Amino acid sequence: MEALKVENLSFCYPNTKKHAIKDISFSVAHGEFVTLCGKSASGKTTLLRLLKPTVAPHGNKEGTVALGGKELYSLPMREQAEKIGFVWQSPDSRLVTDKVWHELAFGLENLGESNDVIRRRVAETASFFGIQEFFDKSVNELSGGQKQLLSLASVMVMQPEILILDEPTAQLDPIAAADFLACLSRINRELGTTVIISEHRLDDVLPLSDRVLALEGGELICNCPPREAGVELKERNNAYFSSLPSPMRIWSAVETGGAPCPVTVTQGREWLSGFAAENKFYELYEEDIPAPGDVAVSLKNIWFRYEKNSPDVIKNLSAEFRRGEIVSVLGGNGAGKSTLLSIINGSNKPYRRKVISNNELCLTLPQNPQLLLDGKTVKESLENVLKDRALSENEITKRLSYVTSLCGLQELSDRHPFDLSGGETQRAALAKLLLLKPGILLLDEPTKGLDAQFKAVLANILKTLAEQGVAVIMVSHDVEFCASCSHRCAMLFNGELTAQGTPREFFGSNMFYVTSARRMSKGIIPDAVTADEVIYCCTGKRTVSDVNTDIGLYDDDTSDDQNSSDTKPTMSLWQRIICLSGAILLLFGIAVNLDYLPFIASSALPLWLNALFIAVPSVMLLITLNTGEGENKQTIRKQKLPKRTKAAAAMVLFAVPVTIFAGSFYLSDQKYLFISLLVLFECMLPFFLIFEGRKPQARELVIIAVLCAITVAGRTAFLALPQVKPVIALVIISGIALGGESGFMVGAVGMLLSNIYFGQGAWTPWQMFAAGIIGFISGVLIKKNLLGKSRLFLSIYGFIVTVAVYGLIMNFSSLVLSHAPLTRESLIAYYAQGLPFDIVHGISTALVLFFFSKPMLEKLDRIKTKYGLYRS
Amino acid sequence: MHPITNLVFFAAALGFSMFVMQPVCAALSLTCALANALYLGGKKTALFSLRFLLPAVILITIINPLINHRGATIIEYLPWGNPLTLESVVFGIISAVVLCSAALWFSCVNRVMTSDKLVYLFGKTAPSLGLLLSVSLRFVPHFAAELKQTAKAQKQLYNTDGASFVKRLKFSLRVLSVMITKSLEEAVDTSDSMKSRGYGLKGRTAYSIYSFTTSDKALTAVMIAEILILLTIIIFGGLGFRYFPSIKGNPASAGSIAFYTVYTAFLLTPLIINVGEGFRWKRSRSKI
Repeated sequence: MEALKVENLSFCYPNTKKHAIKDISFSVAHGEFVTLCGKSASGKTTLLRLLKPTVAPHGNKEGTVALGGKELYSLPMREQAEKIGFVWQSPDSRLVTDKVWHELAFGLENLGESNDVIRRRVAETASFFGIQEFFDKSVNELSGGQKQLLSLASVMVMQPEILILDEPTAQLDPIAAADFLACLSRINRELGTTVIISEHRLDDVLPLSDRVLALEGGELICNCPPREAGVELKERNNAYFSSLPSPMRIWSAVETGGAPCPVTVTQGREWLSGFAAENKFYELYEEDIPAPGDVAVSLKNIWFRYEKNSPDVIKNLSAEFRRGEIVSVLGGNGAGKSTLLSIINGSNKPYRRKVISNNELCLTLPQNPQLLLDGKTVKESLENVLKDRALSENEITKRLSYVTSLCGLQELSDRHPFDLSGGETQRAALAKLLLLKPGILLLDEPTKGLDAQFKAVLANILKTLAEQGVAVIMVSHDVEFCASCSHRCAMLFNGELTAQGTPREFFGSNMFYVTSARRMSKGIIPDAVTADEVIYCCTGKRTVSDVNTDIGLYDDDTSDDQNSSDTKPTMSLWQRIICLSGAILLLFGIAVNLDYLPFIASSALPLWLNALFIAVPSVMLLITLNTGEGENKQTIRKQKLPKRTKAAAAMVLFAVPVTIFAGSFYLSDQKYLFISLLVLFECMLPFFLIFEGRKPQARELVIIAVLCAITVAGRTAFLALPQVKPVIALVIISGIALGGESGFMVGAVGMLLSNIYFGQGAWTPWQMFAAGIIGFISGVLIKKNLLGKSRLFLSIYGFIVTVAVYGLIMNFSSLVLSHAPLTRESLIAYYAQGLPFDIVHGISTALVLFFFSKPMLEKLDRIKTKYGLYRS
Repeated sequence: MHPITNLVFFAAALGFSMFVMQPVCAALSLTCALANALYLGGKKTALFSLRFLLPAVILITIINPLINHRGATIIEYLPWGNPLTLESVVFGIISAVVLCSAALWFSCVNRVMTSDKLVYLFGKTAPSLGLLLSVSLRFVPHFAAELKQTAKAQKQLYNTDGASFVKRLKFSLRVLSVMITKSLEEAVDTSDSMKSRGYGLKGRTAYSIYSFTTSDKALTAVMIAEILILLTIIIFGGLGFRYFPSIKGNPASAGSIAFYTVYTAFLLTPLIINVGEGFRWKRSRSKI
């Protein structure tokens, strides 16, 4: 019986009529290795996800998928989880826990295995995959290849029958990719696990495969062993052919007789020798290298090392980069390629000799181009760059329209930058850099994760830029890409550039570091390096690379049209007056309470009056600012508080007074520290119990974890501005967006987490409580409609909460911790001493909220609607 | 040592250090905390924490008597009319010592209770919380690295050298914003990966690499016994000592001396074991 049988499977994303998958039927036998190929957006990912119901996309599905004869979608969850393993493209976002051993155990924990069983299976798996060496490490210390190996192992530990992999090597360098695929092939051969893989690196995968499935526009166009696939795809004259391995491509362009299609280089050589015996080769055309312009940047005998006592990364390196020239720097991992780029763009300085540049603007496209994108749409992201620059309106429009058409962004300009596919993201990021008209453009691994079509588009953009006199320098592992689009290649090894030359000179003399077309033709055809050149030599026809620029119809995402009208909230005159007087009164009230005013002594006034001085103006402010909200008000959902929250509140309200009463009664009012600690734990416990009791969904848990981690890592963004602390602001925003309970968790766990990094202390429980309660209050107030979302309102709210809640609790903690007596005088002393810090803290919270609350809330809302989160 | 043993020790050590205000006990706790901190972190860490501690100690020693007017023995009247009492001065010094030793104990906690031990302890009692902590711990260094990269990339587009405070703030927020968008999108991928490995099924267990060995059990039992003895002495008033209204108590009473002995033994237990283990290892080497 087949391991997997798919019958008449069709799929539509919601709100679209087009089928992403159309009437697909195939079956996979036990132990088979099946490769799924197709262009971007041909439905590969959709099809793979449909084979695993827990991660299947939402939409309209027809047809059946059967696992071992049983309908897959009606199998119990446990069986689905166990029997089908899924490995994803980017290991970074797919690893869940912080330790390697925990990651391996994660799946088994979910299945509820006992400690002994987990220990055994983890040990066994770790030794099979050679993970022992980094078994005790943190996940973050691993290299990309190790991470991907770990995610494979952490799936295999559950002993699945079928392993599904979605472009698992897209983010890896060639060597790590080869290791990964070797491991995969071992799993398939030695364990008999059925493998279904989608992959761009067909050169490496096809030789391993038993069968090839090809998709085009959601339809299955080929289902046969690799050697036959060549024939079949050739007959269909498929556009996808350009991404097939070089031997197959050359064969299909050249072969007219009945020779079987070669898949590996060895088979290719065999076939080509046969062809050479019967035919004469054409003389190869001249290399198309334009005369380079003047020198843009030159390095003369430079030396570089990262630290005083570390070894040299760059040794005596000399190079010249000219305008209008595309230079590729190749080299293995750790050869110093990225370091070289950082020296050219000036972010690292050599310690001996200098980089001489013509004062050209030098910009770098990072490996992860997403980091350059911001804003809500691609268009906005582009426009942001030219804001605040001394440029005429005309010039701005000119530059915008130029880069938009050069990078083919016309169709994409209204999309969210994070809804783009890999190639589109890269073009959008490139466009942003080009707006500034760089004279030198550096690219770090530009073809990572791109398929053949996107690579061709990128090559065209780079060529256009070079024609316009830009010096393009890229570092890459991608031999084929460098061979096809650069004017000069160089090898970086051991800190110096060796073996420079035109692609033909460079690859012609190389033995290992060479394109597969060259490997196949070496000794048979002189000089030919790329597949196109080999084809020319055989047929005398130059393949016109017909670049289909409107690729990227990436309709995997449902377009979310959230054209929320951005009307600025307006306040009527009287509201402004009340608001302003409220603010003045508040300051006055604070001053009175702290005895800062000479003519009113707060001690002379009754306590309630002092309290009123603070309370009344605060209420005034809240009310006016809230009604000033205007249009936005409709967006706030009026919801009842969940019962759990009410129960928690009741418990807190009940337990706290009892503890205080009992404590002061039995401990004769001496042990404030003890009482207050008890109260803290009583207040926090219900929240943690609720969190525990409702068994949070995966998405909810991860989003909370992300926000907790951001409250800690966020400090890194403000290294240059030490006075700004974004933590409370982030907690408030989390409370508003995710509700009171999640707000509490973000605050409390965020503080615990930050103390893991910055040191636990006696203050930890107080900080946890203070931040947690702020998150909770914010969440409850927004649900009760007492809190507006306008940024001015939020920043005032943030200020008040930081000073009045966080400051209050923390000052109280320092009072209690130092065993000072709890009297009015001591309270005032401690608060007065803490107040200046609290006010600075409050202002920084207010500032962050002022500039940040709107985009941040939009982001969280986007995530909530896009992925259907927190729908209650 | 097993995390549970660590937890028992530190909870009790911190609890006793913060709540037992008897002067000899405070001094004992401070000495033991210092010894532990020196053993665990070396001179540098101890000096480092002292640099932060000294100002706090001085501040508390000064502030406490100024705002605390209880006590019978009046030394002087403060300029604003309130009395300065001998009792409050002594109490101030002792609270500073107590705070100091608590801080030193916490520096030991930070050394010993590594993140995986915390995750383990949480995971034992509250599995979801433990997982939440573990996932967050995975994200923090990842995000920090990502933020640095983002700042580097964005700096090319928006030069902030010498820009105004608001401009620099806006830049930082832009960087943070990009990173948050990215990580929220990735969060959905992470949760898919969790689901695909069966997260959400009933009966999830929490695996740990720690095993509670016989020696761990014995050690924990000894510690708990010591804690119980100490608590008994406190409850039966063997430590009787008060500061207000006048300082009264016998630091050399039988109960007190029993307390000192057990207290010191307890506070030094981990140190003795660690040092002993070092010796044992050396001896086993020399036998070869």
